[in-house]
Amino acid sequence: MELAKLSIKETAEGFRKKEFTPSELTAACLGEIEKKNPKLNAYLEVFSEDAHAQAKEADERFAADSPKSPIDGIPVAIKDNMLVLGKRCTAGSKILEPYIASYDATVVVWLKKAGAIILGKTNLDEFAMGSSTEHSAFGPTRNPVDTDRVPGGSSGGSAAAVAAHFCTAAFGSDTGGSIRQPAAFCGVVGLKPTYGRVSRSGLIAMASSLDQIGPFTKTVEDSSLLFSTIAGHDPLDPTTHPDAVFSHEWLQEGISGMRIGIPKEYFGEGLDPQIRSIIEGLIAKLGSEGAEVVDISLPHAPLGLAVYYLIMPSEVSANLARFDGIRYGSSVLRNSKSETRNQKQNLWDVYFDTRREYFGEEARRRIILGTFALSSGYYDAYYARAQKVRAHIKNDFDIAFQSVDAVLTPTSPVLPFRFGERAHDPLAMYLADIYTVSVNLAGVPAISIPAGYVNHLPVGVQLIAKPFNEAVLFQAGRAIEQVR
Amino acid sequence: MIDEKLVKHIAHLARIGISEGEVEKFAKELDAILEYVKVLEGANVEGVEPIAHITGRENAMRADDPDETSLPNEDKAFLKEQAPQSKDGFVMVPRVIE
Repeated sequence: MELAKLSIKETAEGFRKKEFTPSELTAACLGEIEKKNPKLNAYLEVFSEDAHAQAKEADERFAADSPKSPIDGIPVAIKDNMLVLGKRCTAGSKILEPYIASYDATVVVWLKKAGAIILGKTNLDEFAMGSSTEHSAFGPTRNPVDTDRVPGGSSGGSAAAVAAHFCTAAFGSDTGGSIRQPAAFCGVVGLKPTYGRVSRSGLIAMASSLDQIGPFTKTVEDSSLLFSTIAGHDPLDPTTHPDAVFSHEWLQEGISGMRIGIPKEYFGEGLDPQIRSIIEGLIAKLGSEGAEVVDISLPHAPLGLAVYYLIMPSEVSANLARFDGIRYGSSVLRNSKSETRNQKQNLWDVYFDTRREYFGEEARRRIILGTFALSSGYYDAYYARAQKVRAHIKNDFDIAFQSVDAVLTPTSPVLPFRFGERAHDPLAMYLADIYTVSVNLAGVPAISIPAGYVNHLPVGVQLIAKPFNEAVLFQAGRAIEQVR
Repeated sequence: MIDEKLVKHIAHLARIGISEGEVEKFAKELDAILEYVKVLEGANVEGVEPIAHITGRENAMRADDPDETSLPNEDKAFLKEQAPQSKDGFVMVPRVIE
């Protein structure tokens, strides 16, 4: 049996029945990593020693028939923009290359408490800015499905790690599609929870009004299980809702009677006809399972990407101001050893030179774009206007959810593309996010689920629900897994 | 509408050093992005309240109590070691006032 290929549910059952142990599974994952990670570059760092020790403790708990939780002993990977105490956290950037985390992200605290084994840190576009993982300062990640193609991004390392069976599940962050799009590209399940449902404490901030942490899994049921582990109110993140907890229980099976909205704006120009045909085939199957398919309109959807590419860089420019070469991380000050020279070093030069030398090109592009959108004379025309159109986008969803239970769209308009195909043109790269960004702007939850293949390349379907209604995503998602 | 002079000004505000070659490249790319976001000019935003926070929660408070358990003393030292320059337990910075 290939242990690393099992779902969490199958794994937990194997542990419980003593068919295999957490140590055996951990060794299996580490074996796959050793064989294939040099080519895929999904992990930036692997914690072999710690993982073996954590697995051994889990072995003892299962031997005594007293597991800590339904995910005890499950090996998981963490995107390298979330802090794990005592471990390097780079966010895919040279500017954080020397940085060692001084605390655990809340999500990591809760995973450790549940007995999960932290296998390592996964690759990402620098500061989670990108849709292909080509913008990592530590080299691109390759798509395990087709190594000539990108895994999507920004959480490309986590998506690839699950698809390559380098772990049983992984965690990423989603600001404009950074969990759902790589999940679609690698053929796994990716969840972007409701804004305010999962603590962002210990997540290196990109765009604070949009960022949310979520799981990558092999099945929808596993997604629900991990979501129940990480959802909840956290005093360390004041945006978490007092009623954020989620209970992993199947409210209802099947999709019969569920109203599924199909927004026409997501099936127009720019959608690959092969993807369209798979999604339309899936919709027809759901219809014959008893789902009520309803044509709807989200009239402001075509403005989503423009709103996103003003609000996101504005928040980026504020959040990345902290990397100044003075307090932590890389700095031109580290280059000069002599004390007398340091004292002569001009403060302004430290800022300018550090940020030029250690931020990548995309990070600097977005900082400059955001600083522009927020600057005097342009604020009203760009940032303030974008925040108003954002209200329209949210309102579109509010109206839609008065008549449907879930909205169904393709996750990405394009198939996994080849390296370099979009990297030269920032706008072409941004267009890869066109079906995912509105979800973050509106704060609603969404999931990407494998829907089928075009030749050997996976296609993802996106389900969107109203805030705090992830249960509907899991219910409809399970039905999709059965009919696809 | 974004010219090289404006790019230099914005880069200065953002405290980011950029080379001459990059000034030209960024000017072109940012211009293309701003051309794209022009679609927003067509939206009617009269009387629309801008969204600052999507869930509408505001002023989430907690007691400002120091939590000594969350950061043991050895970690406090470790935090200082993260600074590029430190001396006698302090973070060293370049001269701020001439």
